[in-house]
Amino acid sequence: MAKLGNKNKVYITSSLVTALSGVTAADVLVGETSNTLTINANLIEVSDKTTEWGKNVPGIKGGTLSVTVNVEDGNTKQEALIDAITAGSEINCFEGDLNSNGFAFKALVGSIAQTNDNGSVATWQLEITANGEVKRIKI
Amino acid sequence: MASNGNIFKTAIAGLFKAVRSALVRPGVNVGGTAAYPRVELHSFVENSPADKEGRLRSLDLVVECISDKAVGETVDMLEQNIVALLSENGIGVQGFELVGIVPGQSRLLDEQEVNDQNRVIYRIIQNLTVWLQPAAQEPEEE
Repeated sequence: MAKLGNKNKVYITSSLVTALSGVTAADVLVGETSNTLTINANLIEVSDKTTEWGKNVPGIKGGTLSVTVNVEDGNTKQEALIDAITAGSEINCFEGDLNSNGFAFKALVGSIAQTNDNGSVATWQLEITANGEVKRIKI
Repeated sequence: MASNGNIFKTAIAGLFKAVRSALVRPGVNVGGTAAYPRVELHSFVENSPADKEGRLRSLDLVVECISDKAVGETVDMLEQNIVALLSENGIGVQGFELVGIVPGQSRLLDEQEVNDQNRVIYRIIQNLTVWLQPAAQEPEEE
């Protein structure tokens, strides 16, 4: 069955999530309007002259999470992300649906871009890069 | 299918009451009457929640000033409306916190109109966008 995008939210947890029981609604990143999770696997080309077709072997895997939030002054989850980028410290992320599945990973906050449009609310665009394995978590 | 526990509470009725209360003042009728001068509130639109938790809302509305005396009276009413709405104690919407009010277009309609009783009237239409979020904060701490 199809799923609405608002089911898959970003959660900032106190420790790395290894099962859905490890993340709760209270961990949600408040104010989120959208997120994009990209898991990429670099390919290493090992083509040779034995065939005209290219060959690859799996290389380094990684993940990036791009998330946009409406800024809420004093919100602890949002402040934690600011603290993380200034301190260079790791955060624990879960992206997904508490009722079905998602992805859990340790990460570093790479950038925060604030947008302040006239007539609208202020937003942050956060770029978060996985620091290690991006683990699939299912019920 | 399991619910995510997110129950939407509309802000539209509360906003109507709050804006009406803010604009009531001596000598001006606010809605519900054909008397002049009057302020009419209409075209309330509650937009989709601006975030996934359904916290932040934006609502559009129209505040209309109508006079049967002079265009200057409608301009004066418009200015007083904006001052009343944007003042520190402007509006309090039950169950919501006011994030901000953004005045939109103001349009002075044909300088002279004739109403259905053949009286000359003057109207200004003011568009407003109001940003609200529920007063009861979602749990943020574990």
